[in-house]
Amino acid sequence: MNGVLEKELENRLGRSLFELVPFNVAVIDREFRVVAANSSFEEYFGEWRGRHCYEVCKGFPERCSKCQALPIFEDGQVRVSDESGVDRHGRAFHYVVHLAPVKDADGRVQYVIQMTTDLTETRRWQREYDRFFERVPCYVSVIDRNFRIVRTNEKFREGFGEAKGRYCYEVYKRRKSPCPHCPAALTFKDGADHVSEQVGIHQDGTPAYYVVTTSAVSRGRHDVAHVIEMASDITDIHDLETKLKRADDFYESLVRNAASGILAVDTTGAVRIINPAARSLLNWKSRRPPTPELLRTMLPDEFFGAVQENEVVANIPEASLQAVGGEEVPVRFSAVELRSHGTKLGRAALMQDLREMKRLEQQRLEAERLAAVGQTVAGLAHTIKNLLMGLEGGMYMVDTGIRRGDADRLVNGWQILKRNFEKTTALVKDFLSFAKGRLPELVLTDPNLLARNIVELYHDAAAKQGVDLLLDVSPYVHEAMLDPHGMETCLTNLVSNGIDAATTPRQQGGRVVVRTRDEGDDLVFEVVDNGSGIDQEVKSKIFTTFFTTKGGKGTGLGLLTTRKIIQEHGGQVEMESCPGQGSTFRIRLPRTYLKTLAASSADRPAHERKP
Amino acid sequence: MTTQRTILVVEDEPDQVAYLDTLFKDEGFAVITASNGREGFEKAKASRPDLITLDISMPEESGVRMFRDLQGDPATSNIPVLVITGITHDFKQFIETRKQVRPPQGYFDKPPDREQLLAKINELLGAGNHKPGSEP
Repeated sequence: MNGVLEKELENRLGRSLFELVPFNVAVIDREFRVVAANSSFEEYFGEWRGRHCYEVCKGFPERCSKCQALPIFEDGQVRVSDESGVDRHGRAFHYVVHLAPVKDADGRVQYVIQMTTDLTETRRWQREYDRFFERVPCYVSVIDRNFRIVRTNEKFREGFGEAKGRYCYEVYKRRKSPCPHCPAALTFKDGADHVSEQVGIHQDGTPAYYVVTTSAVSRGRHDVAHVIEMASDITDIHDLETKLKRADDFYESLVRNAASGILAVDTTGAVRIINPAARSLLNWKSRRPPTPELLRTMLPDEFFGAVQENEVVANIPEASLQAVGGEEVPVRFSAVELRSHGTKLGRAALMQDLREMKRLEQQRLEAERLAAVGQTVAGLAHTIKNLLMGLEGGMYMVDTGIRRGDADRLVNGWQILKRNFEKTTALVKDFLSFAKGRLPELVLTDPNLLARNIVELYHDAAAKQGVDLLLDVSPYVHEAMLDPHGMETCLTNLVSNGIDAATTPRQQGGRVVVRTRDEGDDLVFEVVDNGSGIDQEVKSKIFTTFFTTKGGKGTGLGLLTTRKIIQEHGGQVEMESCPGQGSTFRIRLPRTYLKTLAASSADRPAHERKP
Repeated sequence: MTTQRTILVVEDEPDQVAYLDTLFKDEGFAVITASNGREGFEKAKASRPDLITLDISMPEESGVRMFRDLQGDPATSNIPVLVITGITHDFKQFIETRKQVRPPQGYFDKPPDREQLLAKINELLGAGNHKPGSEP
């Protein structure tokens, strides 16, 4: 190799390097004139030839006061500094400048080589990072391997106060020692990110709920030097969750403890809610709710039917549930469509147990029946006492007639005996027919026709006693399930009582009116007379004894029989009376009960239905 | 006896009226009868009987009402009353709980024991010293 060639190669290499290094390179002489520069420099700072470095790089008219090149010409030391200057377009920018001496053979510094690297972007990133670090809406802290906090952000300081140099567990949780299950410890160990939910204490003493992510700051083969903890405060969410849970518990507890059965299905028909009361009604023991198919066999069909815009699916005063095991459970059943902002969520059924009510009603009827028996016996005793007195009188007259040879008295006494014997016979007959247990045989009957028949039957007999028997029926009364024979007996009793009452008083125009009408659920019959009315003491006895005010004519069984028949229909007999103004006897028959009665008597085998 | 005593029988059942009428006449009393409370009260005021037998359950106006009317009228309030009825127990309870009304002089359940009834009547009338206002 000859020296010229080597020199040549060296020159070309130097020129190439000069152009290729990723810096802006310029060479400055002792006069601070730029004597050489690479194209990168020229691109940044523009035209440099024949100009001073301070003119080119900073746009200054004279040398910078803190010139870094100047001392290098004296001491030959390399210098690095951060500078800001202007580019060829006059824009400010930041750069790091390396200044190095170029020495001659004597070691004198003839030139300074200036290598600048643009830092503008890096600076921007730095600023952005700082801003991000400080302003991110998380608690951010950097901790060292001893869990000492080395840096915190603004949000952190707001929540937990100044913490630099303190232990993180002390600051976050006011603990004296590291927390168990510390995610930062894990990150120190494996270098990976860890996330966990934590509860700490804010500097104002309120609880802080947060989700923390720990992340290694420096990674590599070596141990992690720092961990950054980024914690999102979820206290508000936690509070909301708590409130939501409470509201949920509130409703859940309401549903669970409701006395009524509550059952809800979603839009697919799957059971979502079945409270204990509903379980008990359906006799449903399994933990899992019944399947939609099974549910169909348990609840009334109405629950599954289509509905209009209206949210009410069903409202049935008396429905029956098919419980597991076959029992038919009577309930008041209502169902509604569940919606949220117009979107269907499903359906809910509300079921009120009617078993107890039915049982009480049964008990009441039973008690009334027993009371009626007691009253019957008392009344019967009264009637018998009167008959006995008649017989006693007859015997006295027969005895004394024979003893005195008084034929008239004998005949008179004998007739008294015969009459009272006949009355006894009639009483026994009446009583037996009254006492005979008999279930009403219900047939669809027109109440108005019933009333009309009675009026026609008794009209002439009433007229003979000077009483006008009138009919006043409502055209809106429709048919009902009644025992027509029983009802005829009742109306006959009331009408004949009415005629008697209207006959008694002071020869004025007697009048009896038979009325029908509907009043709510009740079918009502009324027999109104303008007779003398009824005394208070008679009123209190009228239904309760074999009471008769008709002397020898009545057996005292008419009203009692009437009441019995009406009770068997599930109804009642009411009486209103004002002495001197007449009386009203009113029969009330609840139509709902009649339907139930008819349905249940239809279920009975035919032989049980016969009296 | 110097004067014949009069008994008013108030009873709606004709056979029982015939019986008491015959019985009391056989015992030497004069008898007047009424078949209801209203008629009974009118006759009591008009005839001033020495004693009244009264049934409780009668049409038109009951024995209870008549008893009250008798007690409320000074002309009749001192006439002794024997109640003869089939509902003695209830009536006795009812009338005896009414403080403002003097109770009747006797109660007899139907049919009354003949000897006891006559004995009671003789006890009330026989001495003939029944004074107005005196309690039995």
